[in-house]
Amino acid sequence: MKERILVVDDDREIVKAIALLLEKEEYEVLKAYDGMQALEIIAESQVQLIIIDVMMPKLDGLSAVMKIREKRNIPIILLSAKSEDTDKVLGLSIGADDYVAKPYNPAELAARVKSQLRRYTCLGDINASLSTANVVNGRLRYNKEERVLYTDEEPVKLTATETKIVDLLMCNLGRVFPAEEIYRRVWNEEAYAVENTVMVHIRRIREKIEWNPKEPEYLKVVWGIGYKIEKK
Amino acid sequence: MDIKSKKSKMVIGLVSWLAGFTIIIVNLSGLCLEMYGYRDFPKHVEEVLGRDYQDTEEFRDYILGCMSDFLEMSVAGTNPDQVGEPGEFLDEWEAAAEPWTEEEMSILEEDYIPSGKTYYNYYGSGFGWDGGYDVVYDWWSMTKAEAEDMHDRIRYNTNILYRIENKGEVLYTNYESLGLDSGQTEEWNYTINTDGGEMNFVMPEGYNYLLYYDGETLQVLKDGAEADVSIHGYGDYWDYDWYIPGYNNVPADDAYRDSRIYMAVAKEPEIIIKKNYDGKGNTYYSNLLYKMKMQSLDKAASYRNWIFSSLLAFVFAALGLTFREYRKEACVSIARVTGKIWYEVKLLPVLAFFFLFLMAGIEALRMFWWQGNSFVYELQGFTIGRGILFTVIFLLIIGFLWLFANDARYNKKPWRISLTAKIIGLFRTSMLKLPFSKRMVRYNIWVFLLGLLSTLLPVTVFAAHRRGTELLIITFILFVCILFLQFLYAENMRRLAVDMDRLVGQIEAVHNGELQENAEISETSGLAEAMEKLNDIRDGMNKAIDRQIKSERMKVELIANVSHDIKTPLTSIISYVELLKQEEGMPEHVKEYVSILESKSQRLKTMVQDVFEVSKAASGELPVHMENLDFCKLIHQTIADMQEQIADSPVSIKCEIPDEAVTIYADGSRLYRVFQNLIQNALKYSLEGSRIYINLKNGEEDAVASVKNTSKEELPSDVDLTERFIRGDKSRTDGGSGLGLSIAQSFTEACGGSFKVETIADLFVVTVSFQSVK
Repeated sequence: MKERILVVDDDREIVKAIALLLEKEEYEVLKAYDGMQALEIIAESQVQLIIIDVMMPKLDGLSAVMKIREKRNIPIILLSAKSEDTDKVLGLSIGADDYVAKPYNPAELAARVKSQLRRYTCLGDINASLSTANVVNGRLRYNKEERVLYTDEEPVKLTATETKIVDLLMCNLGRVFPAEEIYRRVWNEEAYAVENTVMVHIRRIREKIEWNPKEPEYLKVVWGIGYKIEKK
Repeated sequence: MDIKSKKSKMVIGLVSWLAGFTIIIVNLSGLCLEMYGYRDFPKHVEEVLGRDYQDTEEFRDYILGCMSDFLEMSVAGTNPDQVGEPGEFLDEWEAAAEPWTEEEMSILEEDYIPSGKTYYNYYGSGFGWDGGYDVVYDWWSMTKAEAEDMHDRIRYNTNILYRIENKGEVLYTNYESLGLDSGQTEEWNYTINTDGGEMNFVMPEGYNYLLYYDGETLQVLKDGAEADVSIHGYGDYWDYDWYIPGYNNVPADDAYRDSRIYMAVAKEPEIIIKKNYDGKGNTYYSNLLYKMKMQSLDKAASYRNWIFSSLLAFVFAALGLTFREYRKEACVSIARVTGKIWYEVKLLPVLAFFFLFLMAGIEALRMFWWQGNSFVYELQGFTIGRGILFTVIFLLIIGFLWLFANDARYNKKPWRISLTAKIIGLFRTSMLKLPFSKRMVRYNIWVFLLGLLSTLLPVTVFAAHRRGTELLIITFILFVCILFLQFLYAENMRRLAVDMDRLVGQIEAVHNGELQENAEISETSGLAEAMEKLNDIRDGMNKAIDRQIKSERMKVELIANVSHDIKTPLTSIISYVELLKQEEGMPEHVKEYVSILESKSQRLKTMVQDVFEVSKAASGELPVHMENLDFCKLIHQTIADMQEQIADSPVSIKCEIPDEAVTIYADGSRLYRVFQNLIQNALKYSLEGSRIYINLKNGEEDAVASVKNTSKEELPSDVDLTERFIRGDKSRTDGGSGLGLSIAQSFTEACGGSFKVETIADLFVVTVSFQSVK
């Protein structure tokens, strides 16, 4: 069954572009051009995900999200030209599941849609997340016994060194590791001028687990201190 | 209510209250004075109102004085060891013999005390009226000649008839038949007890008062009946109205055993004038009894006046009480009028009155000290029931005092409206017109005056020591002046200091950026103007800051809106470019066009974001998360992060960074952007094959990082490269947004560091320094 996605934006071209993007990914797309329309469509038909702009006539995105949240629990991705941290926090706190700033990266948007849908339709692996062998962090799940990292429940192929780094960071979520410490614990050697070496590996892991490696969400550099996987 | 009647009620209420009050005061004081000197005042009042002059204390004193004199005369020259000064009486006689002018005579008819005459030559008819006691004690002091002389002088005073006998021989008389039983029938027949049984005494016509001394006791008869000589009994000498020889209080002296005195007093005394009595052209005059009679009548009148005026006063007081509501209104409205009058005009008369009263009081006390009771008697004539004039004057004085008190009661600080206050005010205003410095100089006048007076002080003290009291007073006044001036000066200085303190405080507050407080100092202060100006400056600063904040906010808002408006079409462009890219079966050259479109749209996106960030940083609205971090590590991480770019570029990087940690306090992600931009810049603009030097030096206080590269283009020397949209190459053809250095600078500064760009020939040096955390 094709998942049905509602795209809401007052800019018809953008709606169309997103629709094209998503249809290519084999989704069914419904279109709306303001908040009121969006609410009507949601009332009429079964929708699995909503991508909604913030600044719209009649009823703005944030209000629409609040209205929707009164009844429905479907994933909502906010799409806005406002890229400030405060805007993101506001959007997420009133009930949106994700926030994508304009101009968006089409591939990233597609990936986020996929991620949200998977979690909404499969509802995650509760058993897995309950197991002590698993470390669950947002999109990521790391099985300590298998030493396998899953993103959106898909296993990620990592080299041995990368696995060691992921193992270290996932088992210590949120803790900042200086490059030297990572090097010492992963390579088991005395660390000297290892910043570049560690960085190379970090970048490669990012490319495998992040949607947008240039703006990482999970594997982050704490500038002037070290590296960490952010706790979600 | 009718205004007119209300007004008249107000007037009545006020005037009657004042009049009643005044009259009561006058009458009470008169009464107090009058009561003085009478042993039994109610009896005295009774006597006075009885209008019989013979029933008064004065009369009794007088005739007993005369009797004493007659007794004296009866034994004159017989005292073997005479002690009295023979001249004493004569002097008094001569004093009494001052010539009287006709004018004085006429005055005498109306007024009893002619001016210029002393008490003595007025009353001193030789009968020693006030010396009743003295005569009793000084008896036997008279010589025969003196007695003769006295007889010569008083014989013409037909108000008193006398016959003085000793050992059956008539010595002196002015009425031979007095006391002789001639068998004549007269109007008055008096029966007196003598040695030989009852004796019928014949009184001449017009005489009704008889005194007879029989050698042992004095018998007093009035209107044929025996007079009551025991008003107060016979106990104490001093409490006694009559001091008659032969009674308990005054035992008859043996010396007078042979004396027989007959004395009759006229019922209606008259003025007796005998001209040229002593052969020297002097006029002799005796009118004491007449005076007594008149005075008695007069006094009775004055007592009646007193009673009448007292009743009047009560009526007034009652009226005043009835209209007391209106009185109060009247008081208020009068106070309103008097409040406009200069205070000096009110105060000076009050002080003058006060001074006069004080002087009069002192004088009265002095007079009392010297003259004793007689002064009081003299005063008595002036006060009781005496004349409307006195009351009116008193009313005026009291009225004026009342005005003053009323003014002080209903007007707040009445002294503010005064000539002095006006002059001081003028002085103040003229002072205020002067600039502050001149005013300060003027304050030195105090110092000068103080110094001058202080130098005078020892001089006057010395002079006072030599010369006495007056200078001592001057010295004291001078001293008070000095103290006063000193106080004024100190007070002035204190106020000035307080004002200065406030001004300085306000300057400090403005300096510290506390722009809300509006400090005030009094307008009369010399610093008021300065304070006002300072407040203006502060207001100006406030406004400027407000305007600046507002404009910055508007700028950020504008840029946010603009970037939002740009981002919306940009989103479409990027989206459709992406879709185009995914289109299959396009010719190669079209694919190339699409990739150009893609890269340019991506660049546009970066630029929009950069513009937004740099404008935010410039307006100080960039959020920073400060923490302690290792500067070395940050640079290492940045280089590591950019390794690919570095590897792709034709330049290499040389690092000179200490091994140990250099801790600074900054926002790591912002600082990463700084070095990212700097290294990107360096990579982009460096000469091919050259090296980029990245140094970090940990100094005593600062950690200084520098990025040096050799430019491939010639660097313009006159351009600030950190300005927004400025580039080394003016053609602007390369890929950057032109904001790299600008972002680096604003981010560095937002994190609290300093950012410096130098160009030495082709060498381009950027220095970023932070205070290192120890």
